[in-house]
Amino acid sequence: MIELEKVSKFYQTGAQRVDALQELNDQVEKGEFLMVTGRSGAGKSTLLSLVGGLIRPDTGVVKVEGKNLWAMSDAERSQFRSRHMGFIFQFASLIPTLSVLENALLPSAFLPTGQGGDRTRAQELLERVGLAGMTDRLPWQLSGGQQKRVAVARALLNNPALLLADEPTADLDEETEREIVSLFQELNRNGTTIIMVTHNTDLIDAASHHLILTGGRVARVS
Amino acid sequence: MPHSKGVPGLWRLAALNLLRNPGRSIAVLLGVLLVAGTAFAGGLITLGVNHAVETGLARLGADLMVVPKGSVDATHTALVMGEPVAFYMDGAILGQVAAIPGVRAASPQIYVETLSSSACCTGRMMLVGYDPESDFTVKPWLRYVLNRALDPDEIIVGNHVLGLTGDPMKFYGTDFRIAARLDPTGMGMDETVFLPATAVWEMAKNSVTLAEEPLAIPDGHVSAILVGLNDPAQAPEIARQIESQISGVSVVTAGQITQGVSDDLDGLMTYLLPIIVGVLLVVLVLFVILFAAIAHERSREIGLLRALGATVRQAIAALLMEAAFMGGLGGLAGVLAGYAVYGLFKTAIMVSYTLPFLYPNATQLISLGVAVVALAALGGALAAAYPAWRLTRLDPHHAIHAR
Repeated sequence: MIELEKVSKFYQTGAQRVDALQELNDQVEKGEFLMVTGRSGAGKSTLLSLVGGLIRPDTGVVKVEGKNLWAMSDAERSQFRSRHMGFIFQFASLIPTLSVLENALLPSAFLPTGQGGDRTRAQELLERVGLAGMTDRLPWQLSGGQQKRVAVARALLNNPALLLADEPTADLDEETEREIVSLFQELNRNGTTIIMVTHNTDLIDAASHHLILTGGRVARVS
Repeated sequence: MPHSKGVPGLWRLAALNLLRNPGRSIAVLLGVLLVAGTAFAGGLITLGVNHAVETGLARLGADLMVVPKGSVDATHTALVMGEPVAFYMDGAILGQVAAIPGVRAASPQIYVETLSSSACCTGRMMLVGYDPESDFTVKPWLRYVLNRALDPDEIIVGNHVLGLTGDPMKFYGTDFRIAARLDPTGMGMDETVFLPATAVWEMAKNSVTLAEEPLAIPDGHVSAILVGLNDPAQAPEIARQIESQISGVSVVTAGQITQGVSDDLDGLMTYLLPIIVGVLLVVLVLFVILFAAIAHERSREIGLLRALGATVRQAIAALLMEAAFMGGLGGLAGVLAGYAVYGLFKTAIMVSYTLPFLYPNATQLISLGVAVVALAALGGALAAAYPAWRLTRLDPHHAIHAR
């Protein structure tokens, strides 16, 4: 499903070069639930962005479903992302002027008519994450946990084969965290490949695989 | 970006973004409103003045006007603004003018300035007495409003003269009836009363006994000779010939009238243009700064849209649409405001700058309004183009993780 071949990424901050990832080789099989942990600055978010095609590697190749993401044009990569990937971010990533339903429908906006999830699917997903009856609300009318659930529904709208979640349970209470992780497990059982970045080592058991990053290198895989 | 029902499009996103910071949006809208409003009012005045000059000159129907020397400015004021004038020259000049090669037709007119005293006249206005025998300028359009000769007590009134058809009017003690009203021209003819020259002479004769202040017109004199040419392109050349061969006369050409109006319009635009350009520059700078700030504060959101599948083009379009929306909305408000300001101050502007005005037709007016709104929208989008382009050079990862 995902192949990383000698992938490196560095950032230049002034005169200082920061190696976020160094010659990373890894494979994620279809149907895996990979939990990525590591300290701040270990390269976890960079890894997720590389897999999602949100950032170009300085060296190496990133392939998803056999396709080199950086051999595609911007439009092809954007369509590929829209069709095959769902993203959940740590921050409240909803558009404040759109309703809950419109936020959930946003990924369809970038696909031709009929190729993305529709209103019915968005409503079903919102119901599934416990937000039935809140579809017309605006993001500020929701709690942090509810906003995160909208982001989950949005990530699943186009029925992606790959779900990329960057600290999806950060800042959430334990109960909401448990609900979201169990939702991920259910999705994973239904065939969705998941890569989830987290600081919380208590969640590791929920995943099928675990990868620890330290200083841009893989420290341990279990 | 085609999408099914309920899926938010980029336009909806752009429109809703205007509500995020209403104070900021209103400030920018007011700036655009000022530019667009001034531009629209200026455009409307220019269109109206040009329309009036075209219609007025077509109505005048003559290629040249021969008037007494020193009466050119007064003729211009009378033709353009309808300011009553009265000047006279020897009627024998008619024969001399008609004899000039290239002259197709020549017809005399006699001008009378009426008085505002109620004992004399219905009001202060300009009477134009024409010679039905030789006339080639009044009769053609007279046919459209009254398909018969005027009775001795009948007059034709310009569009702005008060009174209905059949209403009485009194000049120098003589009673007349309004036989018909002319279509508007926006020029001085709208304030003018037309009647046969014989009626003018009769009125002058009777004024000695009927009017408090008699009307004195020197015997055998005329005010102007309207000249039609075989080749209108020869107007300047024939005007020079008339002025050199006949002493004591000046010649007014259609080109001079147009030039005079154009100069007056330039005078008005001298004040309007710096305002438009100055405010436009301020608003453009405001737009660039504003959208640089918006692009910065929305970088995370733009990164998010990219992660959800938006292409670079779509991400740029989202910002440009917002700018275009803001510009277009300000432009629309400006058009409405400009129209209102024009309506309030039209008379003051036209009188101050001695400009004729005939309301442009609906197509011209709508085209002008659409052009101003479109330019405002385009200007907004152009001003936002650089910040938007810079933002999309940031990869989605950094945009999303921007602090």
